[in-house]
Amino acid sequence: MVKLKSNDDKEFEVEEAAVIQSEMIKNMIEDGCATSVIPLPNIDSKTLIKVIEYLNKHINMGKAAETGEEDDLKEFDEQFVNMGWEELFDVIMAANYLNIHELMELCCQSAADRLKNKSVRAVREMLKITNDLTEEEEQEIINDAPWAFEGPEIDDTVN
Amino acid sequence: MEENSELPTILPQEILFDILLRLPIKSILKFRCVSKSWLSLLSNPLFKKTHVEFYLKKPKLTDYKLAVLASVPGLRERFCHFYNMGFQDSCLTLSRHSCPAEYLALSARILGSCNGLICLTGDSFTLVMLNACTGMFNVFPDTMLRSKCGVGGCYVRYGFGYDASVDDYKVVKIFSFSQSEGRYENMVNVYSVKAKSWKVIEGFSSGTLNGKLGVFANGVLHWEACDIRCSRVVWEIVTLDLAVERYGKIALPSYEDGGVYWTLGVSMGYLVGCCNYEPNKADVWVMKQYGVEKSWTKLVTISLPVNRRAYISPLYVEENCDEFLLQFGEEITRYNSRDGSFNRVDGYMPSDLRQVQVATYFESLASPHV
Repeated sequence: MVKLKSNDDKEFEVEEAAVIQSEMIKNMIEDGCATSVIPLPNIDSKTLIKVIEYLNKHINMGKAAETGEEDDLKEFDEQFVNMGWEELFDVIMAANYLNIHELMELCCQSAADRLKNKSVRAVREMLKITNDLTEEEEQEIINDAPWAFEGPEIDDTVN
Repeated sequence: MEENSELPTILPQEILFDILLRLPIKSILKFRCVSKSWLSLLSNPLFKKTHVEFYLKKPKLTDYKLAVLASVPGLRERFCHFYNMGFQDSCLTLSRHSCPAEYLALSARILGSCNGLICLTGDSFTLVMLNACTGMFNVFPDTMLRSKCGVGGCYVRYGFGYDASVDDYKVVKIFSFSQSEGRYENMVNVYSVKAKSWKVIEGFSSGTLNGKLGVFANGVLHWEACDIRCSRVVWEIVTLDLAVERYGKIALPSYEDGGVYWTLGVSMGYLVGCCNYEPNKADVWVMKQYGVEKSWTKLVTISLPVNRRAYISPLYVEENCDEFLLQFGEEITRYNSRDGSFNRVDGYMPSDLRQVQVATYFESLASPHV
């Protein structure tokens, strides 16, 4: 078992087989730097719980193919990314810091899928981005590829 | 500290980069309008390059497009149509999409595709490099031979590919002069898009280069060729490495003797060979590890419902190797290896078309101006 500590001082015990999906922790263990508790100053307990849930589910990734649990894992992944933007970004930041390739992949793809059909206005609102382009600049970009701003798929809702 | 600062706007650029990389081209072009920092991120050449590499690494069927160039009898002009590839009710489908560039009405031939760019012949002895997704194109002159003209006929072969070592696109034009007994002397010119000029490189001698267009994979152009050795016809692949401009050969897998014709293609970055047997059989092979001849793996033996009228060329092989997209004469046909069925692809009506040429490409931001 490996002990992880979140930045709000909560400790979690995780099986080594699960936790080594994190390249960062795997390296620490291999270098013998993981003898006691591993502090994770960038990750809060709420996010760490999510990450551990993922690690535990994906512990037998290789075996899933043999035992026909691939569909089960796919369903888990779909459910897993069903979270708010803020939470999703927290998990992405944690996955990036811990260097968990598959999790990073899953969450970034999910973020991209949610964004792709959104209108520019919706993206700004969803991600709280202030538009600092002038109207002329904006028009120039639109004129450059007007077809990119048209289409039945474009979704102006914020969610 | 403002409340906003804890919200996702503080995502570091490199993570935003990772997310936006996964967007389709249309969304990327659209989201340049979000803010100044998004504009600069999405217009960055490094972003465009990484985007191409990302798709090359993990290609999905729906990322692929087809360019179909054909002529209609009675009309002088040829046309080029573009199709999205998709999957519906476990069937491959094609749906036409418009290309933002209107330039293509006069294009005569497709010369190849790579990184999402298609190379075509234009009018007035020019060549065109087109990004059919963004509509950007680059027109440059074709080349003629400076010497050795009139030594009898010669035939011409083209190839188009990318030289990653210097980040340059190259067009190769081979002039093949018949010698004796099926041997040819080949003179070779290469156009560098970066240098904006043609140059002559060292030629080579070979058997007949049957492949009209070089197939680009792994930084190398490939032409199917046949040579006569000890009065036996031997099929092989003639290669040209675009980075070092060196020729080579790759052996094809062993095939039954007599009356065969090989065609080459590339699918998901893998070299695919199709061995056509008379009168109605074809084997499709894939080279699983590039350059390793032992890794040629037979995927399927296709039995045609009727005797051959044309050769089969592979356009796309589905990842599970059940579904194949093939060009069969003027037709684009889906072949299912589970039940051996052929289906002409919907949305593509070849009945009145002649000289159909097809290339697969994928959506990219690659610029035809290096």
